[in-house]
Amino acid sequence: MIGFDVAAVLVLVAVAAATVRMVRGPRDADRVVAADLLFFAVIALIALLGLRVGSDGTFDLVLVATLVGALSAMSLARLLTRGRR
Amino acid sequence: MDAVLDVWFPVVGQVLAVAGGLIFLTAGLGMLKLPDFYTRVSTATTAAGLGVGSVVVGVLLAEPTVPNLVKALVALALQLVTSVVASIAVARSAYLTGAPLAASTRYDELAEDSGGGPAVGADEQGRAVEVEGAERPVR
Repeated sequence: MIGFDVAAVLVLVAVAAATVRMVRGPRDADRVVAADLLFFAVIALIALLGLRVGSDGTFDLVLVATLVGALSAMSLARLLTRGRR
Repeated sequence: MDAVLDVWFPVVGQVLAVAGGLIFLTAGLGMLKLPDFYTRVSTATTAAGLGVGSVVVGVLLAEPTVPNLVKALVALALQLVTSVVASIAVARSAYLTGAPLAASTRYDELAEDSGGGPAVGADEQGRAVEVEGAERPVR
């Protein structure tokens, strides 16, 4: 099962890169898209680490995360334009 | 059948998980290296669809039970539909707030006064030029 650990490390690199982009900016839009990528990377990490610890609720968590992920991105998009459409 | 379940499912699952990890790695490198916001949205959306999809299917193949299958299929369908819509919404509001295009952008069909012509950062032949004050006002 070494493949899942390798995948987790690769996703962690993406997490680090998204964090760097979020700190650097330069605009709010860049931070929003970094937050987007960070959220998807966390979904993948939940799946991989849930398998690693043998949890039963892995796929429940992934399902809920995909449900709320789009909501967070939509609200960040509204926040970018300060509520104007 | 047992040999398939015990041997090949975990192997294929790990291959898919590593492929998903590589897609995430590509998205992370794109976050650091790509020149403007819109290209970064493109890589993040690829990771959202393909990356999460292959990681979830890979983990499913490691624990292939019927409840897991149902949950993973629902999660995949939701992810593929909603992540694209959310990314388009983020890109649209970034354009409305005037996120600058890369200097190499040739066509900007959303610009109201261009009529689909060359972008602000391009001349009549579409070659990239640096333009001062190329940002659009907030509408």
